[in-house]
Amino acid sequence: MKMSKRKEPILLSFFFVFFLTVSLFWGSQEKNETLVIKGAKIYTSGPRGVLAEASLLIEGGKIKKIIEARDLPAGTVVDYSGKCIAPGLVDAHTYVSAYYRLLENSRAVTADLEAFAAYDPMIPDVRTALAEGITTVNLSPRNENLVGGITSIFKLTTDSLGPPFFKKGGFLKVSFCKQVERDDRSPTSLMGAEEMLDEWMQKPGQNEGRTDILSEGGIAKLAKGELQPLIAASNYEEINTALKWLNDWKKNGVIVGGEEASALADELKKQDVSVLLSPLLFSTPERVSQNAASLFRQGVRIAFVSDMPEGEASGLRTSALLLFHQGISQDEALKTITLYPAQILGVADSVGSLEEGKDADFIVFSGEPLDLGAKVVAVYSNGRLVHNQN
Amino acid sequence: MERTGDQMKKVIAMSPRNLSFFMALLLVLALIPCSAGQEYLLLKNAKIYTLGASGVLEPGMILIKDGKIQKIGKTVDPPAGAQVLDLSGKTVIPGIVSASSSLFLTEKDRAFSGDENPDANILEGMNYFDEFVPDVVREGVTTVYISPVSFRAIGGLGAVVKLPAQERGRVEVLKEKAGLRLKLESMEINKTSSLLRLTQYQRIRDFFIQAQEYRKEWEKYEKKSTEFKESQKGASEKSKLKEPEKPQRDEGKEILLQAMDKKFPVRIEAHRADSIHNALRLGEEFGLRIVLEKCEDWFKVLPQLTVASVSFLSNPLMDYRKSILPGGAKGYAAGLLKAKEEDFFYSGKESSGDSPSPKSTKNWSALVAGKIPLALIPPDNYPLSARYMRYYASLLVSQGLPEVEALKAVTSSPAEILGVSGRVGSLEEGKDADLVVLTGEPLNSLSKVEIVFVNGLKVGER
Repeated sequence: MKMSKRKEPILLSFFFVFFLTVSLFWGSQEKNETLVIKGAKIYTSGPRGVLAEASLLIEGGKIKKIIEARDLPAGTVVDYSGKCIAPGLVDAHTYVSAYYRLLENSRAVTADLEAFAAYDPMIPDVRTALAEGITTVNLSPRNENLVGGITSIFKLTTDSLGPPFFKKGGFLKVSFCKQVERDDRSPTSLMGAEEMLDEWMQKPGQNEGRTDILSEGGIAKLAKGELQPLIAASNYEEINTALKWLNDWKKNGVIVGGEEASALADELKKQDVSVLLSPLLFSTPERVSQNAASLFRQGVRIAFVSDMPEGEASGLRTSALLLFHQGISQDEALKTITLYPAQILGVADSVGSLEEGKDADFIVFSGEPLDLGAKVVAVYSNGRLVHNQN
Repeated sequence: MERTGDQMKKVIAMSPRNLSFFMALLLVLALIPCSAGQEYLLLKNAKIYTLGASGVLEPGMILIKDGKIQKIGKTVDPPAGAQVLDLSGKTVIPGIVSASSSLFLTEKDRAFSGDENPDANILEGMNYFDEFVPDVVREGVTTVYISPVSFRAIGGLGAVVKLPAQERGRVEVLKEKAGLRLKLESMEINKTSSLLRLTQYQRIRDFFIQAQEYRKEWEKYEKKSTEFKESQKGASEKSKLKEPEKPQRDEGKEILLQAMDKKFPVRIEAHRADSIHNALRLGEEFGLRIVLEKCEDWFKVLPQLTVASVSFLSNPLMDYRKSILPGGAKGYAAGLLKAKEEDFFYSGKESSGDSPSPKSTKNWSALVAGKIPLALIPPDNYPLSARYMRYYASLLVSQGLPEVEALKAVTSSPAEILGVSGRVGSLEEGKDADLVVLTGEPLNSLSKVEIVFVNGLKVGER
């Protein structure tokens, strides 16, 4: 007993010192220093399009002004003349740093789990993603459960203090993928999966005590419309089921996967459903790239995702490049990994494009953003340098 | 016609040891009428990366006839009636050579795990009408190395083939028995370790030692057999020897012996530093010509590589955490492979000495300084990955390799490593008219492929 009594003041003082350092640390970061990013070709992904030579004036982590004039205001000037600047990439579906921890495989429905609980900023993949320019992510539970849990939308960071959130509860992850069907528990088929989801939606809040469900608060929120569904569906029949289900329940949702979505483009447009497409890889068949281009041309809102670590961090840029080679302009192709995913996630008021008032998240490339020969020179998030090539 | 006759004589003169040789020759013969009788074609006003002695011609001209480059230079006088193609603003590079590919293999063959089979020849089991070929050749890849894919220690014999200009066209074999596949990577219940990999090394070593024994046996037999013949001439019955027993022929061992005689290189799949060391030891012990494949860890053993004068094939995207098994991480995710986390990904924080260092430590230009021949290969076992050799070269540029060297790594360098540089890999007089016309600089990924020629024929045209 004596020991513990003596421990307390030590502990208290330790906490005090800790908080002091933390607050000092944050204070120094938040100081409203003016940063001038000088002279580069800027792909804004916004209404100003591509600016041949412009500078960014950054204050308090935000873009205060995009200047096309030559004379620059006072401040710390970083010279990137001759380089290209693009917005920080938005990865709307990733398992980065937490692949194996995003799967609670005991039940088919694990509706309350928060993906963020699995996030580990110390895993090297986070650094890899940052080095590729991914600054905003939607961390998602995996596809193996019918209802996997709640996704988290946040700024990617290696800070052990944790990332700044946009939404701790982003979407409710639902999956109609093949992986949901298992022999040892329900559902064992796509039909069963849809039926099972219907059952819970019919009486949310009355299922406590059921052994096949791990907490159903997420479903109640979905029923009430507090959460939007993010439905994993890749093949035609899966997407078709997802669209029918959304229609039955009068819900607005987003589809992730979408490999055969172009066949359902009209229905997707009618129901205003956006599609997050799995990354186009170098080994991807031509028809999958054509599917993406066809969706884009038919006016369905699309974005590419990385699916890290199933896919690579570089998959975003590769996908946009392969879309460009399907005849889409470089600017528009770039938007499928910047502005459009930000719009789909509902965070386009702060990220996704370089506009005055938005977050200073951007990538400096040694050449054109979609040229794989161009390297990522630097990455900034909230006006802070988070990756430097050297 | 004369030429065809000559070739026929050759066929008759050679004793047809196996079917594949015949097939190869037949295909070559079948191709001759395709390109014969072609008009002169002059390409002009293009920026030409010859990858040969003439360097970059800006602009230059190329005269093509009968599937060959007749003349190339700053200016070429076209003969009367030559068809002229104006390529102002375009660039031309040699047809791209992929030093490895999974083309012409059916999906099952790509994951084949039969017995150790040194004499399995890819030409005897390939799927000639691979549906993926048109997509690959359309991106400017005209020559590929094809090989049996096997998880076993000894995989079989590969070949170098030209991709046909037309869909379902004939596949020309540029070189058969172009390499013997060995694999120093070993898995047990989807796990691997340096000790397991050492076991694999020992297995391969045993095969070569057995082959050496086999040679000794034959040498002994031949010596005894001459002694026996000599003794037959002798008059006295006493001095006559017993006829020696003839050892059994073993084609597999003979292939290994040919490899030891440096008739063709062995292509060793080695990923980690310890496997690369094992590969170099094999080469030294048995006098093999070594081409290292994949070797993600090359930068850890760079000094040894320089000394050993090996060629090596790799890809900046390659990652052994995902490339050990077909399907890789995706395959795992789909539940196809029941492996544990640590077999593929970091188990947590970066700790084990086995995990790859960050990409930044890979300084590709150090290879150029070390004069190590480098050629690119696709990063995985999917046939379509061979399409984008140009992009892999761009990635090398982004990781510090000078552009000229990166371009070499998909053209002249693989042609040399594969032993077909007399015909492809650079644009020079007398070489095959395999070329790619691009809308911009070859290693800018935003440039598009406009026209591809294979043996002077436009791809996709009939």
